[in-house]
Amino acid sequence: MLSASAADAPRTDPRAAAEVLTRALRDEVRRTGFERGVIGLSGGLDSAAALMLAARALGPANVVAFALPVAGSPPEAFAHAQETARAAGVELRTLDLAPVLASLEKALPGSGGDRVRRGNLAARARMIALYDLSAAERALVIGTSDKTEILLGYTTLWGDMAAALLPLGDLYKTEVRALARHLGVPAAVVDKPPSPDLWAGQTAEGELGFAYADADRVLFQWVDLGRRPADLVAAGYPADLVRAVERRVLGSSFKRKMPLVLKVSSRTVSMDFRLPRDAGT
Amino acid sequence: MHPRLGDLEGNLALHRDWIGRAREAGAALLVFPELSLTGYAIRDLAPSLALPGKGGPLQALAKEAGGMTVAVGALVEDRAGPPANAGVILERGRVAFVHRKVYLPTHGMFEEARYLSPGDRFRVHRSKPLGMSLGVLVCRDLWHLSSAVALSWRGMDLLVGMSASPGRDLSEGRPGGDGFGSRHMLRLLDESYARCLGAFVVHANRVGTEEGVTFSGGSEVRDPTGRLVAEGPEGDEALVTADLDPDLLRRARSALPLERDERRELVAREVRDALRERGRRPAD
Repeated sequence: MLSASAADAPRTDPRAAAEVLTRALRDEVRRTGFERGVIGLSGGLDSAAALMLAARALGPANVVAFALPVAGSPPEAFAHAQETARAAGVELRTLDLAPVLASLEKALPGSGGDRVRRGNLAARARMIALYDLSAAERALVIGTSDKTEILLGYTTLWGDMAAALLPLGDLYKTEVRALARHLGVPAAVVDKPPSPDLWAGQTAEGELGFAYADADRVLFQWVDLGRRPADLVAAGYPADLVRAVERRVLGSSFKRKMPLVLKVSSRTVSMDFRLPRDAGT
Repeated sequence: MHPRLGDLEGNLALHRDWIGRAREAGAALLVFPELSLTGYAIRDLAPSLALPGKGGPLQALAKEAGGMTVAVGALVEDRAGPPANAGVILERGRVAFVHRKVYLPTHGMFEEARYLSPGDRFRVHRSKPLGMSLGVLVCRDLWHLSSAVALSWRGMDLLVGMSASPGRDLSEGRPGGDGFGSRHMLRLLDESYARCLGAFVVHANRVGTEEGVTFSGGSEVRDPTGRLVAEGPEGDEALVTADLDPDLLRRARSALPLERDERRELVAREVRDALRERGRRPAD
């Protein structure tokens, strides 16, 4: 729909990215003293690509994949998770979170009927499960968010964004798809429309109101190439799209930050006094 | 090599190991990458990791190096306040030369000027054991073409490049093929300096990751014709060795006498004029 030249779109070389990310993931996991990783496997594209990378980086035996279904999770999502785990050579375990979510919905009146609240509860229930499994399995939580989701804020704060590492966090959705194909993620998973799978027929693009391929172009031009949103509109990009993307990015900044510290001293943690996270390793 | 971030003791031990390996390989010169003693993303650890330019651990390491000339990357105390990001030459049992990185990248992912003090000069070190003049440039110094030219004017025979270059750009169709686009740029710089300045280039670039950033490795040695003499892997630690024939300096500079023909007075005049002109433009 856009000016549609190939140069508009982000195109990270999937083969080179697979090499670099495999090495970096191994290095960043092991330096923490862990040998293993745990991933929530949804049956969708991102978690499939993250699982493949983790299996390459740490060895399939060092990766624990969990299906974490809630009521309403479509059965084909589980089938896709199984297919992906098989392709990665990783054992898939299932932890049914339906009763957990049901009891949270009961304790928090109105949450079950509100799609946003219910989506957040599901994401945070999964986070609690993954962090407990992290301790139980001595495995680092590997997150699955991609650059598009992170920028658009199409995530749940302290939910699916909660992880030790985001190996796909610097690749746009369309790039993750190319990487997934390269890594051998089953075609059924690569080709299906992304969805949080909270109810039948839900799709991410339906909720966002635009296609990932279009959003990725706008984001790539803006974030990576430094073109200004207004100039994109002037260059023929649909104004609605550019504005919607820009609004989402600016409106979700809080999801990409640690909480604000209100300053009173002259040396405030993380504002004046900043330490590397990987110190000593 | 892959230093441990913020672990001075651990990195001193790593340096002793590599020095031992280089000695076994019969090396006369050993070059470590940028900030090899501290790791790169040091942030507010900088004050705790800064070393005195004389004495202390650098002096001890110089003793360790024995008859070998060794360039290490260190944070060196600076009277301006924050430490300097330095390339330090250890030779004949002492700290023989310190180059403080002049260009501290501070944009995008880089924040060096926030934590460090910049150097203010480019000088060569006349190495008696090697019989050559060494110029040291640390990472971003290399991207400013004038740095290497300044060293060349002071008679540089061998450019010691020390980098911790974060790998950037894996886009399809990037120049240089397989690795990071940013590493391709380092290769171009090495080749251009070697050939155009008629000097050896020994450029160590670190490997490993820190804070999610992958360093692009691929250390290399070029002779004064620009030819690649030795190359390290992109992702793994390695001792990259090469035999350098000093007579190549004479032959390369005779075959392509750029150094002889350099119009230094003319260039200096042009630079002075350009500076004067800029000074007249208030917008600068």
